[in-house]
Amino acid sequence: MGFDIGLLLHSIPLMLKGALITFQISLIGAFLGIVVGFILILMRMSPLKPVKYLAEIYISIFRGTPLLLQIFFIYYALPGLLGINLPPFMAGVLALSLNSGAFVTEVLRGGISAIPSGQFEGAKALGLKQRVIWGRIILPQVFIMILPPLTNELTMLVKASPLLSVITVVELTRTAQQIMMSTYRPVEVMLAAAVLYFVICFALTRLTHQLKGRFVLISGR
Amino acid sequence: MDFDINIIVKYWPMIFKGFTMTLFICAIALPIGLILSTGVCAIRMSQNRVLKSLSITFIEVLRNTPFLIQIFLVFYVLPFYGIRMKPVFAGICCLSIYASAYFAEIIRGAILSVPKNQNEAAQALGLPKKQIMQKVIFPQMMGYLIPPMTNMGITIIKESSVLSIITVAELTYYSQFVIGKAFAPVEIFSLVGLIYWVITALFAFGMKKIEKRYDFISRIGGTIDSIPATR
Repeated sequence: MGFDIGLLLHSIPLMLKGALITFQISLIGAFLGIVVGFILILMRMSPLKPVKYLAEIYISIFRGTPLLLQIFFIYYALPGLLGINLPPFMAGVLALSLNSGAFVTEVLRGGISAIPSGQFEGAKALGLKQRVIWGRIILPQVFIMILPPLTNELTMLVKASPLLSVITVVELTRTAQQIMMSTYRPVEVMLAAAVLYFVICFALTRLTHQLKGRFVLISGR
Repeated sequence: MDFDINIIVKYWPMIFKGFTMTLFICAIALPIGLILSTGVCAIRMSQNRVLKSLSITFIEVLRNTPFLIQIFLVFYVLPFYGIRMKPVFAGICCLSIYASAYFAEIIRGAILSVPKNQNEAAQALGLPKKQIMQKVIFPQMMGYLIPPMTNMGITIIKESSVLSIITVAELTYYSQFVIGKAFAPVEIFSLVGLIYWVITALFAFGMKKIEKRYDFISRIGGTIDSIPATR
């Protein structure tokens, strides 16, 4: 079984386009995941017990069931429940974001608890409003601190995004499958897809390490 | 939209079949992954440059590519080179190897978390290498080992659902099969989600027990032999 370089070169533009869509999906998923994670942490800090429990149940469900099942649920079951029409792309990104939020909230919690309580007390003693304390003092520090785990989360999303191919989102994996189906040559195409994924994820992993190093410099530890 | 419990009752035997398959896959892939990972980790931490870089490549490639792509490589590409496997077998192989790369890094992290002078002191006392590992490093690394192992184990259990894509007849596969017949996505997906949730919760509970049991053993000065040390 030879290795067909011609086919590989021919399919590379399409694959790159797929890779770009994969990266876009992951970026949107990570961004919305942060939003969801932030809402969840606010709910967890709420003095109302039911709100708190609701957040805990959400986190437990999204962390305790497979992402593939969540994607299926959102794509096949949710439209019927809510009476809305969800195109595959939207359903996929929604599933990734909701899933990611359950993991990001833990990262956010770790970041917030790592802020010395003196920061809160000092800000309060200066008579700053709650909004200013969070917006100007706590969150900027938290954000720098959690940058490495957040890029790690982005890597996780890139690795999770192939599952969206199952609900016909045309990203890298789906593109590779389509080329494979039309040429009957899985070897070149699948290897190329693997290499592309590896390049994206490895670059992101390196970035995480770099950011970790920088954080050590900033905090002086 | 009403929740039809009759559908669940009617198709329960099929779902249960998928459930046993998922349990079967995880019950094989997790221990094999653990055994493989101790080997990978030992090589990763060895002095031999060639073996070391080989194991680093192995770990990085597996950790930086999606699991679905790995399955496709085994399921679609290997047959072109004359290696044909049944979906179940291919799935279990992939899952074990995938798990081994992550487990190996967790074990390495746990070993490195034990302060260096513990090793040095044990060496100064003239303990043989095997005993240093078993009686000094191993008991102390458990605290760093079990929590990430629990998380990764849960990830592997959840990842097993991806095997449905290459037609392994496990829980997610049967859920789709049943939905194709009964068209009740809400009922079936909720039920299957609940089953997965119970499996992962029980797994986490069991791991907590091991953690506790280990505490008890460390107090009376023994070691666990059920989990292989890194050599």
